[in-house]
Amino acid sequence: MKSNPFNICPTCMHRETCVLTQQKNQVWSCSEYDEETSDLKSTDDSRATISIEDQPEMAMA
Amino acid sequence: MTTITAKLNNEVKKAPVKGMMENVMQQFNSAADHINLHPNIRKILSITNNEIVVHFPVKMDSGEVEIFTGYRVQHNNALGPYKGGLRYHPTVDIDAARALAMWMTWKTSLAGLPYGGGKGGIQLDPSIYSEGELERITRRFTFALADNIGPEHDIPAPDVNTNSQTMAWIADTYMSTRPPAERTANQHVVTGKPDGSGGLEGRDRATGYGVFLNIKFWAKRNNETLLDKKFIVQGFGNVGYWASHFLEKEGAKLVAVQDAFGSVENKNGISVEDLFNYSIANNGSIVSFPEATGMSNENFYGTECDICIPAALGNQITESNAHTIKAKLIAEGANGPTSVEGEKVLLERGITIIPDILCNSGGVVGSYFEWLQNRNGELWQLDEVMAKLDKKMLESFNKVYEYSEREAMDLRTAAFCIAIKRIEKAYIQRGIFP
Repeated sequence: MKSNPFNICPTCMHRETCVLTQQKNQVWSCSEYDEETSDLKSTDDSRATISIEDQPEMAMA
Repeated sequence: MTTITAKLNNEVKKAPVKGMMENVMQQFNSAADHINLHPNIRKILSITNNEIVVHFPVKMDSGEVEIFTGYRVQHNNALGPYKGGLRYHPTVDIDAARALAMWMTWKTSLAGLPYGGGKGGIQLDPSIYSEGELERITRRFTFALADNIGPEHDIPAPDVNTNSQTMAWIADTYMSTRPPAERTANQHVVTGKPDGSGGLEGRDRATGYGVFLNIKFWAKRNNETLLDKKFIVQGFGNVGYWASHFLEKEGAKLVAVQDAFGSVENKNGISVEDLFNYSIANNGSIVSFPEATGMSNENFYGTECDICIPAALGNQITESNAHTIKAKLIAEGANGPTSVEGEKVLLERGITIIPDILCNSGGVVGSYFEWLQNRNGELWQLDEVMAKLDKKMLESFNKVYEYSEREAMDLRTAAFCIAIKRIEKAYIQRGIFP
């Protein structure tokens, strides 16, 4: 089995100022974790989307 | 050593780290060697039973359809249904879920529960979705998992970025897919539900209370009381706060706290409730609490105290700071707070460590109580829950403590040996089909 790449620091709102650790590359659980929230939804084009006009919703699972 | 890759600010950073999977496997192999685990059972426990990957479409608020990928890894069910959390995070994948699922197998086994281990989640960043979208994502994921979860098969629970609301959506969706007469009999498909929807009274304090109980049991075994004992806590979240709350009630004194924002200390004691109320009013931060003084973050673990509770995150007590620790007891409220090298230094110095797998197991025991409550159609009062938790945690502590004394080994090794032996016994008694 391979090692675990899971790391929650990059999406934590305290990541820049957190004093708990300098090793912000291997944290898989933290009591102080707070998800960053934003008012506007991201327009990240890399997300896999299907335009409703292009293709109807289908049962995939 | 392997290389992890994580996307940070659109740059790919690579860092060589000892992965969690390696740690879990190392702990497993070490305990397996100690108990001379049968090679066939070692083979079975070294792999996962099932790995489920689902891709499912969800309609977004904009009218567009987005495709999501969800995972569920089921490590082992020799002792009962798979049990473990569901995480919503961009870095969730099969590898991450594997290590965490295996960890859950040992944890439920040690706690003496009729469960195996599982873990899963959805690869997404919840902060970019609306509440309505998250609800539809959760419901569609539940539908996609279909009969791969179930109250007697695999029972998810909250984890990173999932909460009681997420569990309520899963329970409702799962129950809606059952035949009408069976719907209400399936409420225990998840645990960690809101208390008005089958959730458990006191679930919020179960882990912290378990940490406190382990400390209390250890003190009793060593003919000590907690009165005037000084303790420090890293992390003032659910676990750190409730452990401190119960320790203070027993007469112990909180002398230093560290959270994500900074560290505070007061040698004469910090009122746990005052600090908690202050942190709520101060946007979650303990910094500048008026009844304490600020302290260097680097020296936190070197604070003069009797008990140290790392209750935030992993790899906090390492080779570099283990020699500075003054406490004679470390109670691991967090998962993996002590590195292998740090533990070696502590044990050489005669410092006792109550390992995470035992110390923070109050949470999963609380989940078991919720499952039992739903399964039996009962509603338990808070005092009943706490009394049952007392009994269950004492059983686990005594097993580990006595095994470690008998076999002259540290508590962590003893805990892993007990957990694996229990699964081994089930395989020996049942045999391997066909």
